[in-house]
Amino acid sequence: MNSRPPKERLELPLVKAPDSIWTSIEAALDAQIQSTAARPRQFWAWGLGAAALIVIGVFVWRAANTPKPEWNVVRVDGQPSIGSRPIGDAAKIAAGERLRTDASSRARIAVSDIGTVEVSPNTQIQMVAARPSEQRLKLISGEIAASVSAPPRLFFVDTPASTAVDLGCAYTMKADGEGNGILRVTLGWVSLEWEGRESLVPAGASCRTRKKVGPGTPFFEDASQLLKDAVAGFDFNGASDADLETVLAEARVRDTLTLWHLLSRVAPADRPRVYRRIAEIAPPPATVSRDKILQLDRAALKLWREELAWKW
Amino acid sequence: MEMVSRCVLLAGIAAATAAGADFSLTIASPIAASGPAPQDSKIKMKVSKGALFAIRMEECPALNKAELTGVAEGIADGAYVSVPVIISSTGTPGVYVAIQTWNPGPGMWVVGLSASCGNAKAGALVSIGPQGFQRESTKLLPRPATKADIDAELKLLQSAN
Repeated sequence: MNSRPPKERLELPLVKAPDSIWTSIEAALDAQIQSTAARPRQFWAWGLGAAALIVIGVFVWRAANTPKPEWNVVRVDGQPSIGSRPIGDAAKIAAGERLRTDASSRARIAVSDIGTVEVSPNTQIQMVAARPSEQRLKLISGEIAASVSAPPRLFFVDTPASTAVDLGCAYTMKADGEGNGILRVTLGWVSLEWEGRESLVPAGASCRTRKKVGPGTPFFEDASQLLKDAVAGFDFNGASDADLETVLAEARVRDTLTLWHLLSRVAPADRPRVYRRIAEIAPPPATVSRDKILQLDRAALKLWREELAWKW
Repeated sequence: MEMVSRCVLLAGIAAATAAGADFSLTIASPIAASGPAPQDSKIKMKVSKGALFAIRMEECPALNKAELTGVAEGIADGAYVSVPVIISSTGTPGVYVAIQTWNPGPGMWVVGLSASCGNAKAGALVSIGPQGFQRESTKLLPRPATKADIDAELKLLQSAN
């Protein structure tokens, strides 16, 4: 059954292919080459997309499951509110949120696990940060009482005219909307800071704050009224010579807290007077030189302050 | 004879002066022991709540051999009470804080301190009132405080109130 092809089929004439066919063949070949080259790129694109989706998924899952920086709040009296919602017996406050009390309400905030803040009536605060290295709130207006048990410089309270830096302490802080107010320390130390100005306030002492001035000069609560008034005049009313003279004349041993701060706040020409008065009341240790103090040498000032603190 | 008595007097003054530089205690508010940690400091120490007062040993060349103990006696709710006081080191050599071990409340207390630095001895009687440590009535002793010292001081405090 091996039949031969018909003769006429073998003898067909050769015909030249039309030019257009080569064009279409080349186009087809090009398309094939392009599709072969594009396959790995598509593969990588899909791979990357999938990886990105996984990363985003993990990120979203972690964000949803990571504890939010929040503080617990309990109602003590009346009807405090967070934002526009009144809190029940307990609530949580997150970064950026505001807690308000009216004339008849009070609240207590648990600042992570380092302490508590009692929020007095007619007070407004904002939670700023709750990180392991920084717990911070803003006292917009009103009064708070803070009691903190944590390493120094972990808990901060901002007002428009100062930042109270906890150095291991308990204190109350009062401020109006502009930052005018007073800090009273009941345990340990607080550093009141504002634009490079610093007041170190120990237990038993207070420090006023004023808009655009920052923290004033600290004074012990049991100082004479004359001294306290003169300190206020010196800090916020032109630093007159009469006020300085009153402070120097009224100062007791404990009031060297005030005088020590004045060393760096009086005019250079008045500094020797302040030094002389402290030295009269509580002579500096042998390691502290007059010249260094008058030059406001930080180490000498610190050394003298640490020695004076044994008399405060 | 006059010369001899002058010499004795001078020797007495010298001895008293020397004694002034002897081992002793300084008592102060707890704020003296903690101090504000400076901004550039890594110090994490701070005085815990319940610190009654700070104690500093003076003129003790061998602080590693120094010892300090305290006992508090007081009258609370009409009853006489005697409790130990925790003396806690602050991290600064020779500086300690006395920690309250009784429930805070109304009452009068006297803390008797006994310290030694080698063979040298010192002590103190520290009154604790409702507002805490009373600097004005603190008494420094050239020897450890005894129970009789504490009782006498407590009676004095009672009669003053």
